[in-house]
Amino acid sequence: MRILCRTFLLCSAFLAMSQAETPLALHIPANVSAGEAFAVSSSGTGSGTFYLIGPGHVAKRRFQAGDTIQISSGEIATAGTYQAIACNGQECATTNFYVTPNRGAQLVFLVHPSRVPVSERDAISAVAVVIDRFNNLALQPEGVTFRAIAKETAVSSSPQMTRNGVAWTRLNSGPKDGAVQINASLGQLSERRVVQQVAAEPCKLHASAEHKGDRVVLQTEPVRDCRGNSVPDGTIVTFTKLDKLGRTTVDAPIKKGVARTEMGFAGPATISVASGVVVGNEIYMGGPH
Amino acid sequence: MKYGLALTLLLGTLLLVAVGWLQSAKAAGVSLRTQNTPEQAVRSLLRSVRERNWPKAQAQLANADQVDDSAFVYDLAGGDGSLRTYSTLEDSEVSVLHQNADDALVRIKLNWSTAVGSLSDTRDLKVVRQGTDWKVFWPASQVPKLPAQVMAVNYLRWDVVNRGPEGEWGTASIDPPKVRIISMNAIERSDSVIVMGEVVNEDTIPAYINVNAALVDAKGLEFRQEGSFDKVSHILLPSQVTPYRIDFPKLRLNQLKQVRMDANVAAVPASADPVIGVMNQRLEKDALGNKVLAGELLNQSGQTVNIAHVLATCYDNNGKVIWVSDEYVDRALLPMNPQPFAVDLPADVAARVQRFRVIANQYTRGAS
Repeated sequence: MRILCRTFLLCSAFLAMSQAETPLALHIPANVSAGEAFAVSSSGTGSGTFYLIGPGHVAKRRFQAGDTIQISSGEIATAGTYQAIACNGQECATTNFYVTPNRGAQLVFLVHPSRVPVSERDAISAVAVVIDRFNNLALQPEGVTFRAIAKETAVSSSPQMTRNGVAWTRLNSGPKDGAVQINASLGQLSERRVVQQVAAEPCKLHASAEHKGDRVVLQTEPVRDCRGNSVPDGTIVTFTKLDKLGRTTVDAPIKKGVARTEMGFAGPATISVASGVVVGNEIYMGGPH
Repeated sequence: MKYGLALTLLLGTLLLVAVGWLQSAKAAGVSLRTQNTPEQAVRSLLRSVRERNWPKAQAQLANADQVDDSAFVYDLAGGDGSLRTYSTLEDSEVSVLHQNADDALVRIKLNWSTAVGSLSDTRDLKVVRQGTDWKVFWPASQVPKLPAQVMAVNYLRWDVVNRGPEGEWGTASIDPPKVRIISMNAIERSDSVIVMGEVVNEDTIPAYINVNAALVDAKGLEFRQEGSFDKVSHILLPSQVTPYRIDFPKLRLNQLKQVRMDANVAAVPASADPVIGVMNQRLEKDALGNKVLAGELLNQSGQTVNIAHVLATCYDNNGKVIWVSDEYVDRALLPMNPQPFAVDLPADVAARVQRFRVIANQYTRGAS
């Protein structure tokens, strides 16, 4: 009986010692990706409370030490540093872990400017930002291809690897005016932006006048920049007539390449034409025919 | 004696009824007396105009049989959605310029209350004696009638397509147009500081602009901010220049050290039409002897412009902007139908003006 009691006391002491030697602990997988469910294994004794504190989510639940704790995909949708805390009444175990962004699933494509003069070097900036399906910046390198499509030509870049989720390039504007499509693609993903290549200031402005009864019809020749591109329709050309009745001005927009207007005619007049800082020819008209 | 009391009561009642009738008629503006003077005749006519009682007003004219009903109403009440149609005659000033036994010349200044503020209209009217009454001789006018015609117009319009909901990051919306403030001049006038200058659209698309000025004191602090409100052409087509003017009332120039200018710009849908020509601009004196910049607006498109707004920029001999003035035209601009305008210029400014530039803004009902 004495031996039996000693054996029981010894076992109890060993059990107590063994329990005291298994502290509460949490074991997190080495790699955790945003939006991918995983399990946290725990060790220790008794039951307690588990806390998960992250950049975009906080969770609290009961757990039994030694069991695994399931973390759902929604709880780790945001990439960043998380803290897992388990407490059983006597002690708490804390583990920090990092949730990495998932693979790129969306492209944010920024192209600047939306209008650019023709034939300018490095005039167009194209920046692609790769983000995963939970809007986390996808930090692992991925290949983005840029492509510029103009009226007659198309140019593709070799895949540019993203650095910290961003890939960029600079493009020259073409010699012809018109719309240019700029595409960025990542696997099956593709985003498109349109940049308008526009003519520069008019190079030469020349107007002619035609006498029609008591009116004068004024019309410019096709207004072009120094590379031969048509100045955009809508650009204002100012016709000014000075005669005995005073000054007459008409701000006429260019339509289909030319600006045109009509003015009354009441004797000798001097007519001039200008657009922006460009001054065109001067016309002198004599008395009524 | 038997009927004395009854007779007295009857007479008293009749007297009170007569006084009441006279008073009510006076309140209603009904003239029960003859128009003894030219001034009374004009005032009576203007009362009817204010009440918009057109038949009554026309009945007071000396040449009622020669004045077309609709032309008379069009002249005074406006039409075609013009600013005058949104106006009421607030008050009027009448002065007799000269008078003899049978006719007189009377100057009237009509102050109209409109949707954009008060506007004045000064006219000289001939008043003639007809029997014992004076009556106004109204200058015959006509409702503008346009010949039926087809005008071929190539309308040019810009639409702005914005991708995605506003504020969504990375949708790469349209860059705001590039506009530049090309001049600024701050002057002191009576008890106000006026900031004025010009802005140009250097882009290839239309720009919506609003010019703001912030005044900075000696300590470097902004103490007043104002916008150009309607003293600017808000929609600027490519290469177009607009003047702007910002008034700071109750301020002295020595109270500020610096003016910070800022132009808010946005790409907006716009149309290049209608084109409005500013014809025969000249400096002259109006009927009151004030210096005005006068001319005619000519709508060169096929659609009616309901409200036109004239902005005039005056430059000195160095090309510096010395004054910006504006005026609303209260008549609609019908296609190819010139409409006169006159912009007031202060006498001292008029003396220094070497060059001027006039542009016309427009509002067309139903157009965006």
